[in-house]
Amino acid sequence: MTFLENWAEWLPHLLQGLGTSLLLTLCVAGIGFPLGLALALLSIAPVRIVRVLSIAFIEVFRGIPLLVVIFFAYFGFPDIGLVISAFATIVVAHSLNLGAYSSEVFRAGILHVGAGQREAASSLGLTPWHAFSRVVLPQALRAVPGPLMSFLIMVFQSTSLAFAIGVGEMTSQAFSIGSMTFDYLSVLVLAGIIYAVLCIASARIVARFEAKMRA
Amino acid sequence: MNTEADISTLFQVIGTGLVVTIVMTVVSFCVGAVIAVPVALMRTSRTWLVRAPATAFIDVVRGIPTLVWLLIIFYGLGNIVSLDPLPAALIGLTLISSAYLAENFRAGIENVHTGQKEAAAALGLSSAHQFWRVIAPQAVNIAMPPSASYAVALLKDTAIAAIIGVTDIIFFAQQEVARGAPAVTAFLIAGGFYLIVSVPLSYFSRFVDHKIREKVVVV
Repeated sequence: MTFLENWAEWLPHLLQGLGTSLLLTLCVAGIGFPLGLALALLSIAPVRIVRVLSIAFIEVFRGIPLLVVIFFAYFGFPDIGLVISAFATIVVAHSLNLGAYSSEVFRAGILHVGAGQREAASSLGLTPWHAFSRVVLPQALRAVPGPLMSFLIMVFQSTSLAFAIGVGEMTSQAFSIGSMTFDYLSVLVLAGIIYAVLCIASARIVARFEAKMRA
Repeated sequence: MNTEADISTLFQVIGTGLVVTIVMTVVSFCVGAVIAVPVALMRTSRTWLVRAPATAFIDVVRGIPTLVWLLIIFYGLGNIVSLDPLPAALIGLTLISSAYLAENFRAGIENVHTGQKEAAAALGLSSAHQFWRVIAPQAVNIAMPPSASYAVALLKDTAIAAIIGVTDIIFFAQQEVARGAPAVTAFLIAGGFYLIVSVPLSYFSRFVDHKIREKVVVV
């Protein structure tokens, strides 16, 4: 039963790391989701060049691994005179990534609102901006919470990549305990259990929520 | 260190990782797909005792981040069987892709219209025949588009293997930066190499999606 004693000893460190993981998730969601909405709006903008540029941005960030973005920001930013903390680097890199991914969900939501709604709004004499902000957008946003919550779970898992640049989130904490005790297996398994429990539980909640939305 | 010659060397060095990246993607996708078939069959079983282990497998494998899996296999199991980085990464990525693909296959099987099964039963087909001749071919069509887009996600996930020392695209980019190459250039090149593979792959997955939408009505 020695490993259970060890687990009890390691748990506070891992939970401390978990706090950082969750904080990262919140920061990334706080910047990434609004960015995703902005990108979605730009990608259906009436001006062609705006559309092309924003779609290119989305495609590039969806096409390259998050880790490449993280390394680019971590090693590249200082070269161009931009020095930010490792934590901020993760938030910036991850938010760009999340923005590109979530823009598709926002865009699908906006396009899903029928043309009839737009026409009805404009025949009521609403200006295009009013028609969009008061009629189209509220309906579009009603369809997005489910998919966005699934993104949140993915973001939480990907915060483990912060390990690569030494931000002390849960995976880094587990690994540093492993490197001190040389017992990587049990501490990493413990961290894995914590990730799995949180992700499975939240996935269940999301599934229930989506079922309720559909009903 | 910014002359044209240096940049072309950088291209060559980072490009050597491309093969490893592609091998990891192809192997873990194909082997994962083979493992996913029995898992999906178990997952859709009506018997709880058969279904539960498959559900647990899918949930647990997908609930743990890729990096944590790779660290568990490479460092954690390292005390028991010492694996080289590449086999460790292949095992981890295959495990993960089998769970994701099993979930896609399950959705495929469950979304074949019940009328199809009833019609097959009414025609007097045995239950094995019902499954392999009627349900499975339609399930494959439904599962194909999400699986093709999963291939893109898997390609990007292979980058994580560089952390345990697999010599892929990003590994070489990092190595060149450590040797003094300009980081912005090196990681732009690395990103470019991923795009060379991922953009055609995602266009292909959209193409598959359109083709299949013409063919089946998904309920």
